[in-house]
Amino acid sequence: MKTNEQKRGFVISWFYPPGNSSEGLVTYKLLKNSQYAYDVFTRGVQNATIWDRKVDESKLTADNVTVIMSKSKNPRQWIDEAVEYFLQNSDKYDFIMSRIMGVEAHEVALRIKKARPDVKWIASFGDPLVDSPYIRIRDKQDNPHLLSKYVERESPSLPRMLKISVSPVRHAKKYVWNRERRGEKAGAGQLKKVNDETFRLADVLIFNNKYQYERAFWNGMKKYKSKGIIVNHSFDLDLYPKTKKKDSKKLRFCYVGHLDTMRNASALFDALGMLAKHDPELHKKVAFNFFGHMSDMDKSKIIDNGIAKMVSVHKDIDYLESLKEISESDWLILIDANLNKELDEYIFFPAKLADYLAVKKNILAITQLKGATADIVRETRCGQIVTHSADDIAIYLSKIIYQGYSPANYNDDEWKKYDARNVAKEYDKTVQKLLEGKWH
Amino acid sequence: MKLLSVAIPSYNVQFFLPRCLDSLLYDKETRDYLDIIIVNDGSQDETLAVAKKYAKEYDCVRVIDKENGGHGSTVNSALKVAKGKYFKVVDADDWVNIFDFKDFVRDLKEEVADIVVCNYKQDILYDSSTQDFIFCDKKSELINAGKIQDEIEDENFFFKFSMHSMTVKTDSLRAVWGSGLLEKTFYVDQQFVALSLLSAKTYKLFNYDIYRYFIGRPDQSMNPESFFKHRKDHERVLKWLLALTKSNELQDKDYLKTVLQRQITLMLRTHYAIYHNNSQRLAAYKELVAFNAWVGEKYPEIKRPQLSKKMLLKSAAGGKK
Repeated sequence: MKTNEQKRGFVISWFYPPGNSSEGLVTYKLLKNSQYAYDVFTRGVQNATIWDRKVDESKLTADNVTVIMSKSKNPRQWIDEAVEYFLQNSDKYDFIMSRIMGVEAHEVALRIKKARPDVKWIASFGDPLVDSPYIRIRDKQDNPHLLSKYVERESPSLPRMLKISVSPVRHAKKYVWNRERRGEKAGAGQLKKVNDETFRLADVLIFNNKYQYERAFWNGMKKYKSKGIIVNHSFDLDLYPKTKKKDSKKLRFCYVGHLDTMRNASALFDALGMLAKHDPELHKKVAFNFFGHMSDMDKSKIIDNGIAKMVSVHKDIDYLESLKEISESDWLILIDANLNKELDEYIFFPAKLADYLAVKKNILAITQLKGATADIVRETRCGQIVTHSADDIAIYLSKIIYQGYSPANYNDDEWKKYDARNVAKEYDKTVQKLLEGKWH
Repeated sequence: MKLLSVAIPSYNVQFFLPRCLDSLLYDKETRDYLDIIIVNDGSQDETLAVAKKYAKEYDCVRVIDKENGGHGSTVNSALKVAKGKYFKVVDADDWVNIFDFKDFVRDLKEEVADIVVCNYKQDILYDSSTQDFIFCDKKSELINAGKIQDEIEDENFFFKFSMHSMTVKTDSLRAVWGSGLLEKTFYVDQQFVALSLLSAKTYKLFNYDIYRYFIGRPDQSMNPESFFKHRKDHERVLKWLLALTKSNELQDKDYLKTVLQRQITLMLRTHYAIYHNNSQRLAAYKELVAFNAWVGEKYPEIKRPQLSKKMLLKSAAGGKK
């Protein structure tokens, strides 16, 4: 009879190191700290996407995890290859786990489950497949290539407007945009189908916070609620360097990760601009370091607010390097997407928050006052929550910079809930029950 | 000496209250001049605990804990015990601009006007934007209330007027307060504005940007759904204002009558829009028709918005376009 260490899971995950992505790193930390062995079937490096941020994470290895790189060039081929690989090697595996981002992993698992109904299947959900607030916001956006949108943006002269109105390029762009949206809407039906089938056929459904958990089991899905468990995002203390704070007279703030038009630093930069107006010497007191992609909108905000002397934008760095930067900063900045229009409570648990928690520094969390991020910040007592209001942020930046405000007073019992060793231990208990046939 | 009493009506605002208090308490020297009164209105969350924590830490903060009675009841309670020369209401989900607040409070020391008007901003969370409400760009001289419309060039001055822009001399306000604001009723800020106007013999405009009016709470009373649900409250406040236009207090105060009539017209527009913008049913719309007729009969001098047949048909169809 196999010991738990000898039992092996087949993990289907489009994202996994050496590729760099938040979902891949979350999976890595969980598997590395689990007592089981794993083969991770992931896409090959030739399929790197913008989410990989062109950073090599090949240093992230684990003794209990073997990575199988796909040879396929696109996700549809990847599905076929993964299914085929499993069916040829199924004797090696005691269970499978599919990791969302993208949906293809669940599609692989569905095909496996249909071919081999006895296979034990854990399906992990990161972002909701159905009724995503991001998609809802996009659905409400008008075609940016409509003539009226040009008028709004550019207020063109009459001759220019006439030119734009007949421009074949604009008409072509408008057509392509509409076609893409139609494709997305058609795709939404397929996503729902995969989602519903996964709920029906998987044995365990993993969510990373209670808000997603509750949301997932609305309406017709309620009957599957007993399959659901919450597995927190986690930090792995073994990955952090021994170095401490950099010797600097300035207060060092750090943000690590991807920023775009929805998750943006604009309100923070406006707040800094307010402070800078009242304090021309502000740049001598603070340094804000941003690592990772930043939208042009945010970059313009840096210029417009006259804060270029205190804000530095750096290229992407690998995960271990990011943990070093986190360790060496005074304050860590977390920015959630502004989804206030769509959500009364923020349903996402940003994996970065777990990474931040490890070093027990002050965290300035720009998020909604209710939701997963806010709960974690309050429960761990790791810092200050502010909304996406520049004025709100300015109050607390002022307190931090001029009054030495330092709210972090970590609650160790809560903090431990995000330690990868503890997270994996809880997850392993579910796997064990599943393998012993004791999972409902 | 306490220069400013700040009443903070607080109902289920455990997550919002700290920001409001942190902004008010930001400057250490200013705290000595403040009398902050948090009125816990029977909250079911941790609002009272948050309020008590601040009261324990700061001498200038005190807490009134009472049964739920609505926004009006909290302001009534606070005004009774206010010690400040001036009185201001700051809702718990709103806050003040820390950059101007210190100077504003300092300037109240020498001030004699009954109402001090400041600029303010709406802070709209949904897109991190703001909207400015600007009354002046430099501090005014003392303005006699009877002459305010001659002195102020901005013809929209009173249209922009709101509780957020006003700081009122406590004694003057108490003198006209009577039974105060309606209890268990939304939208009583309009009553507060009216009573403040009634109390004022003099005005002063400060070019400080003080109040931050937060738009972004899902359960906010200004949300369209909430507006429709509480439409009877809106009507009750309107009736109170209408009655005020005929009260003895307004004898010989023609300017105030004009201002109040404008305020009512503005509020009527909002009132009619409540019905217009919701998926109302015919029964609800009939309510509005009856109210409109009542206003027309009792207060013919009040300018009312038009109720159109098209709107009636739309309502009958369930508000669908």
